[in-house]
Amino acid sequence: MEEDKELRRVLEIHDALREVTQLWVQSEDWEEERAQRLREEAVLLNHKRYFRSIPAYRALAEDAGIGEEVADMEVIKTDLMFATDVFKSYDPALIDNAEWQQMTLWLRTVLNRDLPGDYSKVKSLEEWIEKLTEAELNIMTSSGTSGQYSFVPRDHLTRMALMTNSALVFQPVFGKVLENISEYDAAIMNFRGGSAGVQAASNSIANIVQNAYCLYDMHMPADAVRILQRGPRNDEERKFIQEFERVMTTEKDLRYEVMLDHIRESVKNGQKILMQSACYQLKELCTKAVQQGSVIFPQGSVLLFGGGWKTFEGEKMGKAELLGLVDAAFGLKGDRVVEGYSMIEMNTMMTCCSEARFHIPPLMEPIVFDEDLMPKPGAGHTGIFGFLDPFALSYPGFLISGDQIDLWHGECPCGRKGYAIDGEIQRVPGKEVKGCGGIMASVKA
Amino acid sequence: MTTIEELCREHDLLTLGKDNIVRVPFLVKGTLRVPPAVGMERIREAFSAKEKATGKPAIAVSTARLEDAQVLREPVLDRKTMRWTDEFVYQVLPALDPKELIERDLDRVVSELYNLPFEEVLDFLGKVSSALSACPELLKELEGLYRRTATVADLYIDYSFTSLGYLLNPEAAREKVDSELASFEVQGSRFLDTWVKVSDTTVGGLSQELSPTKAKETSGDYKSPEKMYLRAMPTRQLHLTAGNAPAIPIISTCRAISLKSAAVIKSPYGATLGGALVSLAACAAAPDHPSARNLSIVYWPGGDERVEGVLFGPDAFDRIVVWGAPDAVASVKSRATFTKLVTLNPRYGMSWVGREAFDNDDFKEAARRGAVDTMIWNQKACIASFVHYVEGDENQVTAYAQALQKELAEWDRIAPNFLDPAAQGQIRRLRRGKLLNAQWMANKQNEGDKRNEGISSVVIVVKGEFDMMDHTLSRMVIVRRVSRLEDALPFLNHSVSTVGVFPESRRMELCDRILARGVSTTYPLGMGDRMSTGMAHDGMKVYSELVDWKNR
Repeated sequence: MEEDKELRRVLEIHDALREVTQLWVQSEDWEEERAQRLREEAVLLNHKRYFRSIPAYRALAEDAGIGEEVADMEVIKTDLMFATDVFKSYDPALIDNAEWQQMTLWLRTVLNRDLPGDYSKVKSLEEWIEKLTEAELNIMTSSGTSGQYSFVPRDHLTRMALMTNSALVFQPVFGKVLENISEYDAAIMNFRGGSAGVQAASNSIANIVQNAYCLYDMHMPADAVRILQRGPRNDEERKFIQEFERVMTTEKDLRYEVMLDHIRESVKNGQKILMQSACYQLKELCTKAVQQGSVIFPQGSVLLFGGGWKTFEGEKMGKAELLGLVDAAFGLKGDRVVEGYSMIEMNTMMTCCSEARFHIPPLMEPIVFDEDLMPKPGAGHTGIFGFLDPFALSYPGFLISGDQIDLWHGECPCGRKGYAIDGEIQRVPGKEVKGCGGIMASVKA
Repeated sequence: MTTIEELCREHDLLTLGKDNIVRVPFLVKGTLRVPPAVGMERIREAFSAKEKATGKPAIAVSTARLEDAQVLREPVLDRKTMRWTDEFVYQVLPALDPKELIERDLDRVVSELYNLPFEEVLDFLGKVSSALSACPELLKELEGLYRRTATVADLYIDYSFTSLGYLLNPEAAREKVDSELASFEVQGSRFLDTWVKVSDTTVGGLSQELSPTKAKETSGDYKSPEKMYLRAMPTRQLHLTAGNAPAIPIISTCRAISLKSAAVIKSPYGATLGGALVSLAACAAAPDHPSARNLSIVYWPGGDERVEGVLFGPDAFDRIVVWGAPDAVASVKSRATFTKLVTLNPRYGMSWVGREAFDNDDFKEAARRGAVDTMIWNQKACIASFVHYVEGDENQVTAYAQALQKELAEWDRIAPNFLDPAAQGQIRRLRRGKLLNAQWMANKQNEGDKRNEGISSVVIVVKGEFDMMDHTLSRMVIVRRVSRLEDALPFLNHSVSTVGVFPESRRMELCDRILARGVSTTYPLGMGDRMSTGMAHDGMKVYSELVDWKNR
């Protein structure tokens, strides 16, 4: 009963935080202190919930001599935050050996509920994720350059929070997102399907829009990066690698040509276009478009991009140069070009403003950590980005990322106030590049 | 003859002065280059300007350039807690003109240095070595100075400066040259000194055979044209040394001098004092010796394009030797495209413990030996052991890991460890992240002192693969259980420098299979830093790589 009461209160706080954020997205005056109080209340309630239901969290707390009752936020920040790598704290051999029952037991350690059922007959990662979906658990994956996956388990409420919160952040671009996106054609510079973080967003967009075109017309299996990193072990995996190489290398130019043809078709039909891309693919497509003559997108079209350059660091160009190329290729500029930042462990998005700041919505509490992983108070620091996410209900949402940021706080000339990440986001030295573009093996022992 | 102490007194060098400023000299082609007098005000201004320009905190800004000098800023360590204090030591070094380091007068170098008898080179090394041995008090003082900022434990520092004379020992240098350049049963130094006949007959070339017109003897023809001669021609060398072990710059210097190289040695940040001492010894002992006149020992911040753009240019050097981190090696490789590189890559060692260790109580001795190999230069050396594969059941592996933890605790006791904040952070990250479910066995330091408490050394029993990018390189041992030692073979590659095996019978059994996978050395567990004349380094006979083999 107590637990239900706590959850109800957390959900009430979610609604209240969204109300505040509604004002924030419209750059209207909002009560920062109230949002702070709401977040803190939700975090302390979630601490109790995690302590009782998430084994890894309880172990961390007990190891630090902390019990169910915590009243001081500093205790949470100093002792109870996980690294985002906690979602890859399993033995990778379990995946290679298809020991899915064991993987399920591991998943339970970072999840707030039991996972009954027999997973021992599951044959592949794809099938495991499907079976978990049947158990009403959404698994979002991300693979770094090492090929070891993060698995972030979301129950229905947490998944809905992610979708609703993201839609809220994008409201200035699309208005009431879900209804308005359906009017668009989508140019998705990604695979046709898969469970990786960005891919999940692509899948959602593709399901809503009028017509969706994907750059790589193939399904990206959940274990793709692992297969590529360790090499194929059976005919199915060999076939996948062949297809992957065909699509990514042999047909690379052709893929961009086909995408441009689709775009021209949408333009001809007067359809607004929603393009979603990572930086490298965007550069490649724009370069080709400029070479062939610009394709001016209809009014109302939008480009969403982000994710940095991953393993394409050698191809990196400055943001201003990239935006110039986008303008030259498609006539998109200003608020029609939106750079986003997020990670699969987070239940919201951030967008970059004209002042080169990624504004952090009041939905979560940012924290900067020193290199020794101790929290620094307030803003105005460069350090490792961590956050307290009140919306993570099914997994521990007190997390330290592998990104290095400059945390800013104030009133931005763009109209928003509050916390923001100022300037470029970099990986913490020594941390692997994250994302599905990262297909570069590191040394294993 | 001047002494090192006299030079130090005359120029006010290598002593900790007002405001923690130390003046450090360079050697530029045999001339002692001393820094100008620089006061604290200028130093503060330079660092504060750089902090402002880069947006970095003081601890992250370690070098600043003045118009006429360079300044290195090193944080002072509290040797009791092994934590950084708020104090810094400032090393003031001369400014550097990279153009004057490059040797373009090859005719002069050939006559003065390349054709210098090897015995005279050894004589020079002997004089330098004696000059260093003749100033024990200064060496002691320098040890004290180095101790203020050195991140390595005192135990290692005690051996750093006293071993300088040994590293430059002429007899050891002779053995290395004679063995590493030896060929056709001829000692290496002969190839370095002169042309050595290696064949009485040569096979004529095809073009000679195909020539449509007949050969005709002329008055200038050599009477025995069929003989072939070989020589190890010295080269102009640039050594970019690393600071992970303080001996590295001295090893590089000894190689360059022994091989009659017109050489430039770049000292690393954090280990400039050794190079400065050798510079002073050369100037004190034999300033006019050709080996001194063609030697430069300097410093610049790695990556400084103003300097490296000149030194990495075409024909500036015949060899560039790079010791260092992967990004440093990659960066040099990409820019010095016209010069032959000898890269001494970052690598790591392993320890393999066979099931025989559990027959008696031998696993404790195996753990002791494993700890010895782990602690080679405080696990900073590329031959130090980072990962231990243990053949046994889970209980046995746990027992080994516990024994290893005890051994490391003993090392912590006699040589308290400095774990920088980034390494402390990395341990926290692993413990609260990827290695959450691993078995952690940590030794702590400063227990009860909330501000300074932390981990000193740690053994982590990991199930499954470990990503080497996650290693702290500071008294962290990853232990992995294997059913058979052979199961560890797939984890061998060119990144692995050495594998220590216990017991010896298993080493003999697995030796070739280990070495065929890119590893350079296997050794009996506990003997990871053994050295011998003629041993290979990173799969190379390095001396042979540093000369140009010429035919006549």
